[in-house]
Amino acid sequence: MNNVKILFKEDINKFVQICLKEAKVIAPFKTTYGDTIFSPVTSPSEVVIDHGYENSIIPPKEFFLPQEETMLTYGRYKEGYKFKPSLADESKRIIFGIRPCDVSAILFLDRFFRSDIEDIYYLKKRENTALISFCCHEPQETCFCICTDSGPFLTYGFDLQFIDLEDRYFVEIGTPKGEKLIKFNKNLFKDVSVADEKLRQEIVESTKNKFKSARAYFSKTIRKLSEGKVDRNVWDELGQRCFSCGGCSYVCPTCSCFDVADLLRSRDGYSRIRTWDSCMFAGFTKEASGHNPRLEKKDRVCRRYYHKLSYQYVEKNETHGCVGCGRCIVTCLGNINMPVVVEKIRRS
Amino acid sequence: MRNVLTVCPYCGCGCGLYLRVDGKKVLGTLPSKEHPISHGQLCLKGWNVHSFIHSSQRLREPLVKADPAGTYRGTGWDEAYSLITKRLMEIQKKYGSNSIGIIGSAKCTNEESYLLMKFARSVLGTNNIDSCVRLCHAPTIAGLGDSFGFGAMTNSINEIENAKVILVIGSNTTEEHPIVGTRILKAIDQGANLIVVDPRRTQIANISHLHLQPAPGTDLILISGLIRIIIEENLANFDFISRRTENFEVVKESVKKFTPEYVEKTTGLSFSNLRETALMYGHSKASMIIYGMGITQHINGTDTVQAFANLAMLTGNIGRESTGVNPLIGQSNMQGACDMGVLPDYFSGYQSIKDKKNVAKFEKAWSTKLPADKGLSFMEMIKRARQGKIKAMYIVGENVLLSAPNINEAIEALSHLEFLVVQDMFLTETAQLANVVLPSASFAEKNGTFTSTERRVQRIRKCIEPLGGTKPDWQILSELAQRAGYTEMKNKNPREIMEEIASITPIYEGISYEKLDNTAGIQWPCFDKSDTGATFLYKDSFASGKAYFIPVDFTQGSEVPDKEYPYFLIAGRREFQFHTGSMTRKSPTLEREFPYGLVEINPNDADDLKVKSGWRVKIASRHGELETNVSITTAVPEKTVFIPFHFKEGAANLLLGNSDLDPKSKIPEFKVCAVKISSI
Ligand code: SF4
Ligand code: SF4
Ligand code: SF4
Repeated sequence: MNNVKILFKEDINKFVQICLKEAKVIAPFKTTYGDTIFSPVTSPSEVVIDHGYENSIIPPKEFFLPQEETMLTYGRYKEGYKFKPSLADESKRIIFGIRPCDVSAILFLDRFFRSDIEDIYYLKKRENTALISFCCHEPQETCFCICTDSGPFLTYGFDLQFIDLEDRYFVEIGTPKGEKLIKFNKNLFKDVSVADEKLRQEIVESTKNKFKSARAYFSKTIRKLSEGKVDRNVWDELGQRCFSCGGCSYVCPTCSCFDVADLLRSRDGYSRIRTWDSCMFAGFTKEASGHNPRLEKKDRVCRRYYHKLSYQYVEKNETHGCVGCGRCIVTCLGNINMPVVVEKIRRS
Repeated sequence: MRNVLTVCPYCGCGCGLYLRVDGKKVLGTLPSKEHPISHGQLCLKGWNVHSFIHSSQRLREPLVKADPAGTYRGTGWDEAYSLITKRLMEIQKKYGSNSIGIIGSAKCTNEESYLLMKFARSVLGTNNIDSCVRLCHAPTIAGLGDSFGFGAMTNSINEIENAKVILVIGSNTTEEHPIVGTRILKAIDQGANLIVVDPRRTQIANISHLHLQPAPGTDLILISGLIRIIIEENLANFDFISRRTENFEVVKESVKKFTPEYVEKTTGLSFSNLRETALMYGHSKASMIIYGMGITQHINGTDTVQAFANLAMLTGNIGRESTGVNPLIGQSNMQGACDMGVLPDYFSGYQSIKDKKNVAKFEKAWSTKLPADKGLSFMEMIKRARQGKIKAMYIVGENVLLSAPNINEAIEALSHLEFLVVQDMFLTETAQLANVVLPSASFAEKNGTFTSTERRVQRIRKCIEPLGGTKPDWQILSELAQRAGYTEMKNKNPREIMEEIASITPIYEGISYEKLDNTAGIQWPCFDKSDTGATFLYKDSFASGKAYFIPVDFTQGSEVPDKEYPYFLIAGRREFQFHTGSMTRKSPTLEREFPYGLVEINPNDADDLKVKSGWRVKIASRHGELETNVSITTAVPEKTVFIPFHFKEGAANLLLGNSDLDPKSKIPEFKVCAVKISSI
């Protein structure tokens, strides 16, 4: 069992204040227009963690793998070419109010960026960032983490996990990094009573029934897909609906593909940038000869879900590539998304 | 990091997005979920809008052509302004005001377009002002204007999902207007019937219930045929016709000649498909017509748009939710440029310059004397420039060379000018011909408003200061006017310009920044402070009371395939590039998707020609030729080829040259051209 504490809601701002002193705090922020976006905040009043705050439009993976990141700059000078690495940001950061699905996704990304070649741009940022997760009691209509076993309550992965017990939070400490944050202000955090434990249990149980979306039947789908028993028509139909916008990869917290390009960005020279990429683009697999093994949209949709769901990858990644955040449901122009695809495959 | 809500600068859908700003850099884009159009979605172009902003190819200082060979020298704003005012005044004096022509941009804000038209009319003293709308949607402005009152989409994007029958014609919707495409998909998922009319088998055609592939250029015949069938099948809504329209009998008479035999013969479609279409459209009480540039860029453009209006009135599918005639405007603020009077015959808000009262009103407001003669349209200006009658041009944000129908002719015209000024972000092909180039700021560096295809006026917001050396277009125009000694354009900011627009433009009268900042935009007409705008038009009455049935007839264009030029050429756009590519081609992701020009050829034709995918071919028309790469696909029918127009290497416009103009709207024949193909 994790080490646990109680924090009264009236003290939460004080805790945010402490966090702000320790590190750069990134938290859900509601724009005047009503959209929720993770953004660096400077005061507790900017942090939106009221009861059922919506999960952000794009996941916090952007703080580890930004939409656009400069890796190095170079140019030609009198003395010849000069290269200047633009190293990863090493400042201390706290992502405050990250949702459990997104924590699970970061664990998934960790495995990817550590395996094979260690990606220092990602790992440096990751090392210096603490994740304070807030469990969801009011899942959105699009949420299905319960089917993917990646929320709404986690047993590991977070540095701290907060569970809302009406007037207080049940705080679970997951790592020494989390422990340290609590230690800074010991008297804010109280001991847990038996009643607290009981309430926590009740809330965990009752939340499970609040998930609206039909349960996605992952295991059957994974089996069918891995055994190659999916009717071609499924991909044909889905391919007809894809606009190749790339949104599904951009908003997916477990998608890690990026592209590297050298761009002439200033008079002195080039910037080597990396940007988000997507397997839904034709250019993603196009070869130098012009040949493209996945020219057709249906092949790309198929590939995407194969990568997320087939045994081959599930084994390699230790889990399937979906954490049930529901973002692809919102963002897909063609209404192609994980629950729809899972259902189509199951029925095919 | 700051998140600034603004509007996508590409197509006319008007998606709301956040630019993510870190210090002086725009590093990312994300869709707004609460926004009524984007709903948390963007197309690939939208997701990548940030990527051209910091391009090193952005111009950073005014350029003056130093010698005829075309080398430029950088200069200060002061010198550039002096040179421009001096030369324009000289030309004005020597040849008269009407020797100057002005071309506006569908990418400028409303405030900028308004200032440009004020500048043209007050400072330069001419009505020779137009924009690339002439090359895209002039038939909409003219056609729907005459039939209903306003040349704009009658209904809204969000109403599409509740339509029961959708007739998409001449629009590759999923690629050109992705968000409209999503709403159509949603409508289908909810049981709507989709009919797509397009010679090409596009994505939207693939998901339609009925795909009609008429011979290019025959849409007018097809629609007239449908009208005749609906009348014969007794599906006309006589109650609506008598209450709300005029002149039905004349149209009834005029469609008689569109007999099934004639329509079948000319369009190549079967009567049973036509009848099915007519019955579907006519039976439903929520039938929507959606059309794009495949309709308008024709010599029959305006007539076809008016035929749509007739079809909608005939069945009463207008003036209610999820009905109407809905043009999809290609660029972010093309609607706005028209609304603001960047047109040779209208002031802002479609107030005709022919009406003396309007002239007097604007003269009073602007303390100036205004020219009375009707101005020249885009193509007329190009033609006159070629003849040496237009001596100077002022072009804002438009790559005229790649968008005009005949590049060779346009190059010749612009090279003939005594003086050319271009305001642009990049040194485009057009700017390279200019005597003075002024570097303008991007949409992320200025405040203002855009008006989307559904008449939605929305705020764009400044995220960063104009890149060193650049200025927003409105500021350039305001400063230049003052240099020329005109004191009525001392505008402090776009907000103030909008106040002026509202004070003098009835359909924008109720629009203010205050109101826009608290809403997701307002769909005009918005007549007063309490007015919240209109999602659909003509609920109780048309602009002048009743709508008008306008009889139309088919004119055969001169560009028909023959023995020598056996193929129909269609020019259009593809999803990953935008317009002439001056912005999209700066994005690595977009450029990688679709890096070079190509020609789509049907496999059977490819066999005949003995060419394979990837091979280079030469394509020649009666007007010009180009080389490009072959792409073999069944998306085009036999004897028809398709070329996108974003690339200077293989620009379709090299081949077009037909000088036929639609008599009603002056749009050139763009879409149909006869070509021959040979392998090299
Ligand atoms: S596949 Fe969809 S639901 Fe699953 S993690 Fe990715 S965006 Fe979220
Ligand atoms: S979000 Fe949907 S439309 Fe866009 S690329 Fe992914 S599957 Fe295709
Ligand atoms: S190009 Fe059009 S559909 Fe795409 S994001 Fe921009 S406004 Fe939306």
